[in-house]
Amino acid sequence: MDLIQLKTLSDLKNLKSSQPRQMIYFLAGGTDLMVQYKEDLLQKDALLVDISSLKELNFIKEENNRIRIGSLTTFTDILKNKVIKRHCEALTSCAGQIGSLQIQNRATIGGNIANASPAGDSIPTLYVYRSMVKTNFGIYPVEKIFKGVKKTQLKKNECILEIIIPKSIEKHRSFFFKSGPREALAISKASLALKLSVEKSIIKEINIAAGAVGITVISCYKTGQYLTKKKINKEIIENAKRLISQEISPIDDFRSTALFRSNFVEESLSKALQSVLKKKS
Amino acid sequence: MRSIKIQFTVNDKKYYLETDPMRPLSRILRDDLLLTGTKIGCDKGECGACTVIFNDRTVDSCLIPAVHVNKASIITIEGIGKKNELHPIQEAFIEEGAIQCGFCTPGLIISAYDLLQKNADPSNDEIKDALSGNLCRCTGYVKIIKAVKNGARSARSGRRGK
Repeated sequence: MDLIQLKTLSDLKNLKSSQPRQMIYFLAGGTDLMVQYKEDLLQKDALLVDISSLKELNFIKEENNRIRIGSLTTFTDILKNKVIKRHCEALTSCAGQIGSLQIQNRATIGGNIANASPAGDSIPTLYVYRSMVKTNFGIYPVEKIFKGVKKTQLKKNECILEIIIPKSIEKHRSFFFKSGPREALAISKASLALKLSVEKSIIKEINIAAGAVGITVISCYKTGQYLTKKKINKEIIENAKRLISQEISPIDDFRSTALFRSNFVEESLSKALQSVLKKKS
Repeated sequence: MRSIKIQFTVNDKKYYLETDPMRPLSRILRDDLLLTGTKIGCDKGECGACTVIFNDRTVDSCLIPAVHVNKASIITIEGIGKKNELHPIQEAFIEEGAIQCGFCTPGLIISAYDLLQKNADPSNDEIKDALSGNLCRCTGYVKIIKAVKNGARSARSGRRGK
């Protein structure tokens, strides 16, 4: 295994030609990669590419119709950012629930995506904002990045550069719910993110995504479709809970059970819908 | 892996080292610099025993590779208080009996110290938040939280350590 450090973004281009066969791991904050390195889970002949000193990938920018977050932005910086708080409250909420302060101080949003864990906490929220991921090869909807547990569609020398979140024209609310064995320092047993706009108790638009209940984070389109243009009431909520339980595919493992995960997702959906109803937003 | 040369500061002292780029900072501190106050618990960022201040932010030093240590400024437990003049937080830990086996204590004190740098008069909830990345398996957290509260009070009243 070898390690190289990139000094500027243009070094990424050279990476393409000079390393044809080796597996490449990009090193950013290191909170996932260091653990995998110590546990001998990385390929032996791999090339580690340290991108942590690429300052041009550490930014949060507000533009007219979108917010751009550089892939090296840490969750601490996301948590403290006022633009994110105003436009993406669920992302703020999830940034504050990732790992611990120590982890949030190092872990990057690009790394959370690249690690491709179905329990990656920022991923469901990025789904519901219909975020795009920009790499050195192109721009994709975030959902298209993931192939399976810890597997992405990204090419070997493809590096995540930024996350683009379109701004909502509609007045909306967004939520993130996470269930762990304790409040801090916990990997999600299950999670749910929602973004919705409601007028006079009628849902105008809703996006829902669930984490740790499948091999990737799952977009719950059917449940969203069902809820669209519906007036929120007890019966609609019960039907939506039934629908979402069919859209997810949770399993029993060392972290939790399928039943618990399904219940958590259903109850979180119900909680979000009821809280919107109470606020009459 | 080809070794790299790094230079960095720990508790205001400069160090130069040639080392493996993926060697964790926790090992550098303990085994290379013999600063054994920093403890290694889980060794994967889940317990906070190895917490140090790294460029003004708390981190789990077990997850920081040497390649990131280059040019960094680090504060470890050895940099807080002096032998004959402990930091108010350290004194409060002793007075409250907020220590049992002591393994989590350096990490907890670092997290508490970092909190007080940013917030001189933290509420109980703010203290709990600030310490939530540090696990203690012996005492429970009641005495620890009380110690931080008391330590903050005496730091405010002028008993300032380093």
